[in-house]
Amino acid sequence: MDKKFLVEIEVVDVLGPCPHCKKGDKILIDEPNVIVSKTNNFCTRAFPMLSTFVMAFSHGIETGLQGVPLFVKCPATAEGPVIFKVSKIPKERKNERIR
Amino acid sequence: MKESDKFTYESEKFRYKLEIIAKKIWPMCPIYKEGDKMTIVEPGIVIQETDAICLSFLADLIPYYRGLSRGIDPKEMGLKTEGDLSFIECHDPGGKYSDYPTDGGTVLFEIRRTPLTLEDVKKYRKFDLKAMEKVWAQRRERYQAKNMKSSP
Repeated sequence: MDKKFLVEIEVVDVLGPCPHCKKGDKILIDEPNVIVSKTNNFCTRAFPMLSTFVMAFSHGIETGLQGVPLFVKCPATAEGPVIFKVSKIPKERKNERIR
Repeated sequence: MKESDKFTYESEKFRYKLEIIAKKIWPMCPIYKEGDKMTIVEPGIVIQETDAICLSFLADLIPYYRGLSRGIDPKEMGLKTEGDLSFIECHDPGGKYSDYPTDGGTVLFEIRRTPLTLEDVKKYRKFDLKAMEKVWAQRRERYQAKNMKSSP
């Protein structure tokens, strides 16, 4: 199956002090590549968990609660937590979305 | 023997056993119930001392388990502590943070660390330290001969 989607991971909320992430930070992935020019932050503590969703989303398979974006949080308990939204972007729309 | 090898296998308190216990669940979890435990002796999960394994939570734990096993202060990794205990939460915000609904729940885990001696590690894993040291030395010498030739 061709991978027809980019995967965007966006920080939508920071619920407590976090020295790493701020609202609006983004990671853009053309699986398996991180598009560095469209990525402005990358937390190595959160990414192993986030990466588990990348393969499915890049193939168009969304997980989570139907009708709601996929929200996930970092596992830290003394910092944040940081809330991430994971979404797929059709590759043909990438130029309009990632500018 | 390299210092890190020496500490890993001979120091009394360098390596820790981790017991990860489901402490609180908002409001439900399909995998864990309160009190369920997962035991890790790096790099393995001790199945005989483990009630349940959630792959998604394992991904949450991956960045932390080696540091926790090797004695790094949990506070330096962004984890809340109470005395010798530390805490980590799974990645699902749906149960605890109502503005971010999901189809799952949120689990808070307590992390207990117990120092392991070499003899303790041998209870969990069969290995011959003398044979391993011999293999390590061969590998080190091969690498150094190829990559670290001293200049005349």
